[in-house]
Amino acid sequence: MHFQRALRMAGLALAVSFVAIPRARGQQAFDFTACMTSTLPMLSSADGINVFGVESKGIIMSNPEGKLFHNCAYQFIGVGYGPPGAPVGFGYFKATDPDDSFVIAEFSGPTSDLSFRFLQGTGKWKGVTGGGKAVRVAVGRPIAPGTNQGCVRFTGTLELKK
Amino acid sequence: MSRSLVSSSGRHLVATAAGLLCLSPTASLAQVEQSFDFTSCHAGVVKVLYDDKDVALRTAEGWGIVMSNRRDKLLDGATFHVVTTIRTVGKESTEVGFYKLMDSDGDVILAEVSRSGGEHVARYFHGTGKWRGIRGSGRSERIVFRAMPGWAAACSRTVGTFELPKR
Repeated sequence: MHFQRALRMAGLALAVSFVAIPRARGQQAFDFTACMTSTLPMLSSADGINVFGVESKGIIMSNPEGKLFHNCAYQFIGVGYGPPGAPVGFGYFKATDPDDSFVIAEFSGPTSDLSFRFLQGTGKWKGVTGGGKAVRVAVGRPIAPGTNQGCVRFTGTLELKK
Repeated sequence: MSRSLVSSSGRHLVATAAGLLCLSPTASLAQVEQSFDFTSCHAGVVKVLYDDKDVALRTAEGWGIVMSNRRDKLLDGATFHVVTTIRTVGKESTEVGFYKLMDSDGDVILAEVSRSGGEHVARYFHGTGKWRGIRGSGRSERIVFRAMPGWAAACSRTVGTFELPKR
């Protein structure tokens, strides 16, 4: 009887330890959409190739309601190179929480396959690592010359140093 | 994601909305009524004309995009430009302005937007191309809102109806 109970307890402890490992390491999945308006100063446009800068401002909505990064202000500064509609880009984004903690991530790739990784964080995001993929989910006709409006969905995981 | 330029806890910002349509079966002889449900997000700048402990007068200008919440995806990806003025007396704010919504074909809808307290309303009064003759309105509810130094951003959900002349 005692042996069976001990076995059950040991099994439970083992199961809990497996489940608890990811949390102990602070790894969390996220899924959010950032919508933004951007200005795109053009450095060069020749032979079907554009070279330009991008500065974006916007806001983040978590796709699971109220989860990670919900209501963060979103800012991006970067550059792009390539044919219209299919450039390769590189830059940095900043997501600022309502309590002013923020993360900085490096963003790169073609618009069809963007990836990012976290470089640093402050406050509750201190020591953040991880990253993920980003996909454009809404893109429209520019409402004003030299601007662009759109939404990007970000998915990935992050880990916080204990 | 569409909403209207809004304010938050005494600070006022812009959130704008746009509209999305869904053909409903309630067509009259002369007009076709459509309902819409979309989320709009925008970011922009807020300028201060006057600000003291009793009264604040501000202007807000934002640029954003609409995502339809309906299967028909009407107006999905439409972009917009909104300009409003905001008056705050004590804790009460009122906001009035206009926005221009442009769909992927370049056709335009103009709306007057207003906010009094927590209620945000858009009234569609002019359209070009396929939106010519549009009349209707939508009510918005804010999803997220942030005021940052020198700029602000918001997303709202707007639900409403409008009518187009039967062609």
